Amino acid sequence: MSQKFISKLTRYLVIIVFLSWVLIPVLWMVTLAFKSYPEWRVAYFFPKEPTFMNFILIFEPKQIVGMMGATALVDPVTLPFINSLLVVGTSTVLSVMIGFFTAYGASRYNSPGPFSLFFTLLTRMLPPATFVTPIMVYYSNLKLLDSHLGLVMLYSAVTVTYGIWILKGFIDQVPIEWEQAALLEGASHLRVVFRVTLPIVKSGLVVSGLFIFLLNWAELLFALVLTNVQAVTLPVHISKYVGAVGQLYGPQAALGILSSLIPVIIGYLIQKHLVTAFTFGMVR
Amino acid sequence: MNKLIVENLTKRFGDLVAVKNVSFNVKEGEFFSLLGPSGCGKTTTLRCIAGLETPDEGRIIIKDRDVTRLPPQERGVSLVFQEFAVFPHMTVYENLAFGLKVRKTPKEEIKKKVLEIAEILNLKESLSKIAGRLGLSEKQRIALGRSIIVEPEILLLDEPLTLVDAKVKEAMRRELRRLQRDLKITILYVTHDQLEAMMMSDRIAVMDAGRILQIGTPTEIYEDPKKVFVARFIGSPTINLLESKLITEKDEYALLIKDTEVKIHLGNTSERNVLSKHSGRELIVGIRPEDIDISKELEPGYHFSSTIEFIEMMGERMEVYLKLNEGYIRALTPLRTDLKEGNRVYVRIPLSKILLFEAGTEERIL
Amino acid sequence: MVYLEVKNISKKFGEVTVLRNISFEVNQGEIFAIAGPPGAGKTTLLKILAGLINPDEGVIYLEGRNITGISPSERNIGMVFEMPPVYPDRTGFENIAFPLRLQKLPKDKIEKRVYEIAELLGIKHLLNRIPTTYSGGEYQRVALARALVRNPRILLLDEPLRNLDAKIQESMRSWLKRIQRELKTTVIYSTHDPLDAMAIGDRVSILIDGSIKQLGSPTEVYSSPVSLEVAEYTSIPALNILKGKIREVDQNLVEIDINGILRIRKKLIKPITREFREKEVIIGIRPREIDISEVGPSENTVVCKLVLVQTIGSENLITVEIDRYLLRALSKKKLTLTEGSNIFLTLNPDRIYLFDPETGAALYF
Repeated sequence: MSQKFISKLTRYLVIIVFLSWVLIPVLWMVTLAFKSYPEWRVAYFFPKEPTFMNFILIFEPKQIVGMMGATALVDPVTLPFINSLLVVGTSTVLSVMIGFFTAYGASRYNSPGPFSLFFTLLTRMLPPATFVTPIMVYYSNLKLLDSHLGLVMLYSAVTVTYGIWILKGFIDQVPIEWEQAALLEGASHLRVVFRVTLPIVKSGLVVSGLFIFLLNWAELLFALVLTNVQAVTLPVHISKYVGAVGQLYGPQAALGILSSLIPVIIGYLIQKHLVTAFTFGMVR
Repeated sequence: MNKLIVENLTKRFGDLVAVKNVSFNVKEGEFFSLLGPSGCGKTTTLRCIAGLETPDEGRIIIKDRDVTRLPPQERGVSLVFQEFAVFPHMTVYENLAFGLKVRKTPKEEIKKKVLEIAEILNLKESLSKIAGRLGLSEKQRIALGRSIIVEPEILLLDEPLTLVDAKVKEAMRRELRRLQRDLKITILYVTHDQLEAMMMSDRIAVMDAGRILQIGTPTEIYEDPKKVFVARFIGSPTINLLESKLITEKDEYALLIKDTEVKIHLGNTSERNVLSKHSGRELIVGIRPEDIDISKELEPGYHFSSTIEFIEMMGERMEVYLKLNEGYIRALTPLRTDLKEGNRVYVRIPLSKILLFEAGTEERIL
Repeated sequence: MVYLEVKNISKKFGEVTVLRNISFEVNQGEIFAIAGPPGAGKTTLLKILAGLINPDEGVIYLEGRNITGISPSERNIGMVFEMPPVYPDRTGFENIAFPLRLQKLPKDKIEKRVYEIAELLGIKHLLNRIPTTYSGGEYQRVALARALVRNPRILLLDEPLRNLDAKIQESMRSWLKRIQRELKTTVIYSTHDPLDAMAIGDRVSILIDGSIKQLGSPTEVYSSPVSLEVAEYTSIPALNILKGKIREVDQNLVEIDINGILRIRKKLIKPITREFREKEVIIGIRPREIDISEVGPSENTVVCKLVLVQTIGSENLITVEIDRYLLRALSKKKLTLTEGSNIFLTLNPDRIYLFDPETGAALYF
């Protein structure tokens, strides 16, 4: 039995090492968020005097000026946070919805056909940076710069591809006979989609939703270029803390926790669906 | 000579014990089947032997080598699945040659072996065709060919005929058996279909809930089941099982069928000493439908009368449902035009064909 | 009483003709079985009856009314197809109630009806559970409940027992038959297994290659096949097929020369027609009609080589070889001989089928 023990031990060691590699920086960020100014640059983990100061600072940055003689002023995180929630939330919902119906058409009616589907994937293969300038020009002409609408449109258009691909996989797994039976029993086509197919692929919707949400939530490039004051999103806001405002590590860490909070909460709430999604192919 | 020895195999999936202390041997050149209902652990057992699962306890020995820790490719086994593994984009020839190519067999030898196998499996004309376009039975033969050509120590088959339609299934059962006989291949076969196992195997292991209940030749298992489960699982139509009590009447034993007036006198049997141990106890009487005799007139030796409630036609035979208080007893007879639903008939249960089980599942007498 | 009348239904998919001039009638309250090899067109036929596919030609009358163009939902036909609609994300109750909810029936009525059907089919315990916990048999029963809950005029079952364990198929089939008797629902049952069809059907139709080759009671279809195709299809184990020649001996007797292997004499029930005297015929013998014995010859017997013995419990399936032909026989006898030894094969002249080699039609005389 000792061979079994050694292999088990090795496995656990590898996992611990790997996890540490990934989690230690995160842990550092978490503990840093609770450290007060003097402790920001220390080498040890846990703050000797934990404080909530940083969290207050990110909402009321005026106090920073007094504290450290910072040269640039940063706005409170309230607006960017709300903007992010709004923009990312809306575009996720849009992407998933449009993705679902497109996927349904592709799966049941072969429309869009395989070529069109492939084409949408092609667009994902180019580096986003190639699009930035043209988009900026369009938006400028259309007066969409620094607007929520502009961002939502862009995000939805970009991530809908993922929605289509993920959901098509799920919809393909639903036997068409199940829909036909409902048709036979008197349901209209639309009814069938909403009462039969949609509920069955619930976990697919959730999975694609989470995936798209995460992508958009962390999106920096386009947000940076296309927003200014009003539609500033969280990633843009965080980027301002890097360098420009002096090294405000504490508040930066607090921001990190704040921005991670939403995806983590969502993930927690839908974990049951994630499990279902992974084992979805188990139709009799 | 034992090709395969399985010792005390146990496999758990979390809380579920899929395979409990399973042990059996397969001799060289033998066709051995693992038979049981879905979920009994037979496929898991097979997968452990193949190397696709690691057992929690026990050993697997193939041709005197302990292979329990070895990966599948080093065990000398070949596995054929239900969804038989055929490369759809390759020709039949390429499919068959695949295993040998991987083993770096010289080209001329590959050609020779492929032609040999193709001849045996009736695939010679299809060698240059694309496998994906062929029909189901061809694909099966290709899958079979691929697994045989590498000359494994033992060939493992996991319910390969389940997806096939009735007529092809019947033909395949005969062909597979002949093939196995002619080529002297050692086969371990998993199935839920008792007819299949009976037709093809030299020996069968009947499994339920992770355990082996009985191992024996088809005839042994059919005539001499050691447990109620085995008696019920083997034989089509299913055996009649009646609750009864062993009573004594005038110094002779008789079986009183529960809730009826029916008494089956056991007369002067040679098993008196066995019966005496169970006198007064509840026993389960097993009698196969094909062993029951029906007659329209009362003849000596007939035990009771009953009404025909239902007749199910089965081609050349009929399954007659005879009313017995709350339920019924089923008899299988050749096609007879004189029996109609509602008729009153006489039933005889030949004593020599009765299987008696203790109400806690065990066999007593034949 | 004729309940369903199907007339001249044909259907083509592209170049392929799947159904050819199909006509039959189904009586009220009967189980009408359709048996055929895979690809014969059974599922297509059922889908046409359901209204999911439109036929190219032909009419369907249900209770006297022409339903050919009517949409599936208005036909009030219940269906259980290959992937029965038992949705995994809701309880048994919800699944069975689904069609009733579509009809917008009041809640209490729905509840009552669902419980009624569940009681009848013995699945009340499944109502609160979700399908992922069901066994194969339970799954089929819930699917059936759903199809029956609307009190359909006809129930279409497309190979409903296919995914079940062999033993469970047996019990499900008996159960189905009993339920049908109680409910008196008219059922059309399709299967690839001829024995399955003959066991469950009140009448059986044999569908091969898109046309109905024979229709009748199970006994009729089995004992009196109209063609080689039908005889071959309904034989499990496979029919033994040989060639032979007829020679008329006198008005009541013919001699059939089976491939030079065996000559048997058969009494005629009716005189043979002119063309068949001295003609080549195809001979079909069901395995059960061949008698195998280890002891010496008698009339109509020939020696052959024992190739394979396979047991099926009470009977043995025996494969023998004679003159390069392989024949199969079913026998209750216990054999002690080993494979490779000689064994005797006896035929019963009244139990062999004769077929016209050109048309395949069965010859009865």
